[in-house]
Amino acid sequence: MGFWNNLALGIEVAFTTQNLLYCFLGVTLGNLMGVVPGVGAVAAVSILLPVTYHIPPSAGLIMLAGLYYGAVYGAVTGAILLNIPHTVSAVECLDGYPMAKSGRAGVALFMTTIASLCGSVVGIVIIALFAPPVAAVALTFESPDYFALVVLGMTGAVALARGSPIRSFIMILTGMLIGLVGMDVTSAQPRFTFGISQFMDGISIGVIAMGLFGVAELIANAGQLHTGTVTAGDITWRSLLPTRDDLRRSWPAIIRGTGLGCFFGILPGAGAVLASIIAYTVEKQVAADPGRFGNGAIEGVVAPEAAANAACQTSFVPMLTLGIPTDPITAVMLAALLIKGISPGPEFISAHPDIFWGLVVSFVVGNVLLVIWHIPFIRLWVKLLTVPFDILFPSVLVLICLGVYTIHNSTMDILLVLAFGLIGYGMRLLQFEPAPLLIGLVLGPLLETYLRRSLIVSHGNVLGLLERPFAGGVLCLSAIILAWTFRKTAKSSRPNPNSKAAV
Amino acid sequence: MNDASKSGPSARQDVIGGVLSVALGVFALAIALSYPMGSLLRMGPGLFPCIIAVLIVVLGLALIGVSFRSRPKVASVNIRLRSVLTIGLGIVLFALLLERAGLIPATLTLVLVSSLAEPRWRPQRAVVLAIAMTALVYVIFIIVLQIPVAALGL
Repeated sequence: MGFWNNLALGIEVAFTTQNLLYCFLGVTLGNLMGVVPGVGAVAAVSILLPVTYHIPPSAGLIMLAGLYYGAVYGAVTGAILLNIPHTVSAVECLDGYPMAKSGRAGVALFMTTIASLCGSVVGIVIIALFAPPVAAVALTFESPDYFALVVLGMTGAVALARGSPIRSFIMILTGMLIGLVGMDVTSAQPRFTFGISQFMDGISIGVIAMGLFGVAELIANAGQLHTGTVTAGDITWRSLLPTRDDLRRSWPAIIRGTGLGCFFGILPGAGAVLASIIAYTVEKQVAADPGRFGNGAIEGVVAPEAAANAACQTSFVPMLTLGIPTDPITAVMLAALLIKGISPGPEFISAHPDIFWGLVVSFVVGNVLLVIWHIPFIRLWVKLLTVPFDILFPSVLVLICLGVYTIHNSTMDILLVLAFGLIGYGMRLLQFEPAPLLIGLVLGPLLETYLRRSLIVSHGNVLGLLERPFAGGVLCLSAIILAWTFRKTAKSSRPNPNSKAAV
Repeated sequence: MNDASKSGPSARQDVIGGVLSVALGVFALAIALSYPMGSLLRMGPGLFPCIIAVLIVVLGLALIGVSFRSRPKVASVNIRLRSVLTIGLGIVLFALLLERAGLIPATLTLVLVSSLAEPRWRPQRAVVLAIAMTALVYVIFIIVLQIPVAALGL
């Protein structure tokens, strides 16, 4: 009964003209930025972050979320047609591009759209069913429990991030350090402000994300990306239709991918990228003839796509119910909500049912919009792939600079975005992943606050943190995961766990 | 495309990354030590930054420590100096011009300067793009969003 009332409320919110408009705007721009090479989902979300300052929180959240899953939808197009590895769609290149080369691009695009829809819908059902009970359980949590959960989030980000765990750990800690810049709320002590008055309020996450992901990406790709000719030739209506054999192979793969995606989306630090890589690996293992993979096996395209979209949806569960983001994109969204004075946590769903259920219903609306956008307009998106990058990057740069400026109307922020762009580019050259930094940036202040409160509760006894069964259990789990991660890398000669999956 | 990320980090990348991490940690620690530490019961503003700074130093040392195991000793890293300089200069000029000269000159400058990052720069194309982008941001930011910046200031 309650569920249906909530659903009705969600429909009411999501179907207001304003929210429909922002949902449409979000998924369209997301799809656009996903299709276009050289601009990732994180950059897309952070470029539009300043817009959310001027619109109501539910509209802002709906738009940012739409950007996220829209970009995931769009990214696969470039992977299939031009072999462009986007962050979220790197594995789809492996079999999608060979499919395109053998003239089956239409089938690949059609089936990935179906796979995306399937993954998303199941992910949405999971949010609707599980977020409220998780929040209800979380209501009984106290500071030590939250402290433990944030530690688990960090550990997950270290264990599941791409590349070596030492590097991702350094990135998380660096993010936490940057998160400390500004005035300490408890003692009013300015920290790491270097006497610069703008630093007193801290450095806006929008500036950092746009620098590390936007500007750095543009510097790395400018003069580099040259759009090739689309291999597929013309994509006709008829070429979209899958054969019976395609369908027979795809269904189980989509279901497996969806399941894996839902699970990995909820895990801290995993997100859509890891989910799609794992889905690909699993498909290769369960296949009767693994030799087909890499030569255009449809399972290798649809399973990762379903997984990425499912993960993209379920990653909202920990963010909305616990206030703990699991990937850089939900971290940016969390920041957007905090700026609006809304702190996601166990009370979020009961205090703002309109925002939560409106968002859930908007996911459905957005996904349907994406399918409508994607299939009939497929030729339009293919055209977009041929927009030269030398036109694209100065345009994106202008939007970044002005977007950053509108956060505080300060030119200082424009220089800061350049500084973070250069830092991000340096990190790229040294092969440090920027994603954990963003997670650390958001988790750092939470970690300090919960640690401080927990220590007051336990009268300054650090071991007191372990006394609550939940907190103790989660902390032990984190310690085991961390030990296992470092042991695994210590054993393997190559400290890159994902390089195997990517080969 | 991303030529560097295909193989794992090289030994040199590990050492440079480790040294920079240690430097960052030491720098942060030096500053954080000047803040009140407080006690475990009442954590001062210095305690948490110190813990983080020390952890960064430790992990930076660990990264230097594991570097001998890295497969390629030296990876060929291609620094895109041209992009760094043109995009960097473009943004700096934009920041300087925006409030002094207005949105239109700032946007024109940013597009023209940053488009030089493309090695095969085509002037006509850049000028057309600059004018089109300026018109677009004029509509979005001045007419629609009404940001407090003059379109053409003095």
